[in-house]
Amino acid sequence: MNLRNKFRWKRVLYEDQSVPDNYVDDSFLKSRKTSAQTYHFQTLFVSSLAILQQLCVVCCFVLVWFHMREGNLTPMVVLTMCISVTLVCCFVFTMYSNEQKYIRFFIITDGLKTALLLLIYTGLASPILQTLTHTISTDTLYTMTSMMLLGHLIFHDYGSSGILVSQSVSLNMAIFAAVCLSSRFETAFHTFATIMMALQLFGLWPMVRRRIAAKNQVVLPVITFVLFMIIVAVLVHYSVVCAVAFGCIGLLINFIFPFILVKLQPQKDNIYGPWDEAVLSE
Amino acid sequence: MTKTLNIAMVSDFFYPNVGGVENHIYQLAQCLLANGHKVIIITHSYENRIGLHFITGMLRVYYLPLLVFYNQCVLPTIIGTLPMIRTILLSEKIDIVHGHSSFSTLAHETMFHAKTLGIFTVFTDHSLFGFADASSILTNKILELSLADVNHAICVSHTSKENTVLRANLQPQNVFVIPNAIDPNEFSPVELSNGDGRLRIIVMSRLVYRKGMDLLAGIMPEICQHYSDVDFIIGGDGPKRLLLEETKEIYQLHDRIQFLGAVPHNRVSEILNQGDIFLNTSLTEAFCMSIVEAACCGLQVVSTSVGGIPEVLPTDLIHLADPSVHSLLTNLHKVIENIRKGNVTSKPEIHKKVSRLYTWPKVASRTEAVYHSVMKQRRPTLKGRIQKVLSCGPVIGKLFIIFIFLDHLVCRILDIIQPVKSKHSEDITTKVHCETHFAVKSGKR
Repeated sequence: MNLRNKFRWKRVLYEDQSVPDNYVDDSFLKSRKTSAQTYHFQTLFVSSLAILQQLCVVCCFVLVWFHMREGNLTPMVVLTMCISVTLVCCFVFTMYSNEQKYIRFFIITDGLKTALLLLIYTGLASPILQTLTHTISTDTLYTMTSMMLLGHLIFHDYGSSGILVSQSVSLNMAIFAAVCLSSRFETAFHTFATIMMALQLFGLWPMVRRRIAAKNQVVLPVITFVLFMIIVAVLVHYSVVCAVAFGCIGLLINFIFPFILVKLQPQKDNIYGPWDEAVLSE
Repeated sequence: MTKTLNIAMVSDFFYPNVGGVENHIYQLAQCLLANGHKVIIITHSYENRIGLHFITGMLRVYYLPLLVFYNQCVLPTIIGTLPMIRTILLSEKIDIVHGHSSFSTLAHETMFHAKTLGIFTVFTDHSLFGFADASSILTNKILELSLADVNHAICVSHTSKENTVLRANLQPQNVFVIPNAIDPNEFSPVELSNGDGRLRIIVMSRLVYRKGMDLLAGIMPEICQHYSDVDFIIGGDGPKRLLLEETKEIYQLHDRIQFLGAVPHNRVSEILNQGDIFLNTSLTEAFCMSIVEAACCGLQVVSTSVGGIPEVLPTDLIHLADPSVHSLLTNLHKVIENIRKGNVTSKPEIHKKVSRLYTWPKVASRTEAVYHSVMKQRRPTLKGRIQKVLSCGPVIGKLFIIFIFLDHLVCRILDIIQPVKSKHSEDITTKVHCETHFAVKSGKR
């Protein structure tokens, strides 16, 4: 320690500072930081709404299919619903876009062209799709559907980047699930309606949702809440256990998990210092 | 203090592989040999290079027939290498095992066996690691276990020491800072008579992300457009070469940027001598030999200020910039203008200053001091090892103790079935391949 009074140690290698090589200065490890990133509950709540929302969409799909199978809904009603929702989506999508008016027109016509193509192709293919998995037992199909829908939820793009996020995988899994389910119907028209609904819910809606989320903070939570309530109400009608379980999942995803993350984050101890790789900003 | 020691340097990385670690081991071993110590090198086999080889100065290199599985590292087997390494260490009467590089599994395994045999261990860390990602967490834990009972560790810069102390949970008093060195005679300025008045910026590194090649891609067009008489010479190869070649294509800089591809180490000084400015854009670096080499050739050095780089050269010999295109450009403009005005120290003068700073004999004598300090310590015992390893973690510590016990057990069995008679170096009658004209040439370029 008496060395310190004689000179000020410098953190350099090119000078012989006449101290042993294992000299430890008071400045040792002063430049490290141990701060971990902090989260705010509100932002976490809003981000996790996307997960709940997609879960609601999946439930919505399964419920509509179920009602169609029970005979409470005719395919015509489902198709009309689909088309009207698609039109609304289309309108919202263009309304929230940054493009100029004449380009918007092209976007709309382009979108309608794609929609028409999908409609025709699905219509033509639905007799094949209906019989595609007809021979497979119902239990196997249900298991496959559950796995695929779970996979869809796992791979879905909720707005964060990661290895697991893949839009195409997620969409394909959902469509596969729809094809599985649609083979349990008697007519090809039913199959057609199911596939169209799947395309609309899993293909179109996430695009629209992202566009809305970028422009308006209020609409999405409201839509999610309404959807959530409707699904709980429908579920209560059939099974109280299911409804309660669904409600609990919603609560967990949106309140309890973010809360735990916010609480536990200060415990995280990550060390930063001059040895870290520099991050390029450009 | 002048007791001669038997030292075994161990690393997966050695000649014919080339790089900073390889060069470090070779040069250090040569200097220690010159100081009268007995030095052997243990590495894994390279292609048909298996067994005991003699290289310059009768330096003995053991190329062990082990399975290489990733990045020139041997497959970790924990006790698989014990019979071989035990025979070598005991027959060579090794006092100190000196492991190099935290990536080298062979170094860790040999140190592990050495402790079992009651031999002192020293470890040199050549690299920096973060703490955030999963691979770092795993590597750091392995390093902590391996270094828990090491006698002394050596790092190449103060930043590297801080990093190693944190990663391996060591006592800072047990970690020594001994920088790398260069051969100043190899890097001396040569006046070239191509006085066309053009300035050349030299870049010499592997063309990878970690060396900041994305920054370089941003800098090249700016400098070339701003000055009509400044060219780039880029030595080295790697995945980012594509990006740089693309930049060249887009900005039509075919006559301004020259790519040399991978450069053998003995040509580095020749290329450095063609230039006036050396540009280093690394994003992380423990020591950075290339800026010392460049400065030794008398070049003006512009470098990012990351890792251990600010410690390496005196402030009048290096221009430090933040790791951003803007900051590097500002510094380059300053240096170019200074050269134009003749406002810079001459090449021979810079060479004179730098050549004194880092030399291998200095490194060797400082390393010797570490060895002597190690020799004064108590020999590693099973009890001491267990205590130290237990403090590494409640689960992994106990798991690792099993390996230690196993190692001791196998060692006892080998003592019975395979007793080692220590022999003098003169007695070795093994078939050997003499390679007198051998020099490790470093530089992963």
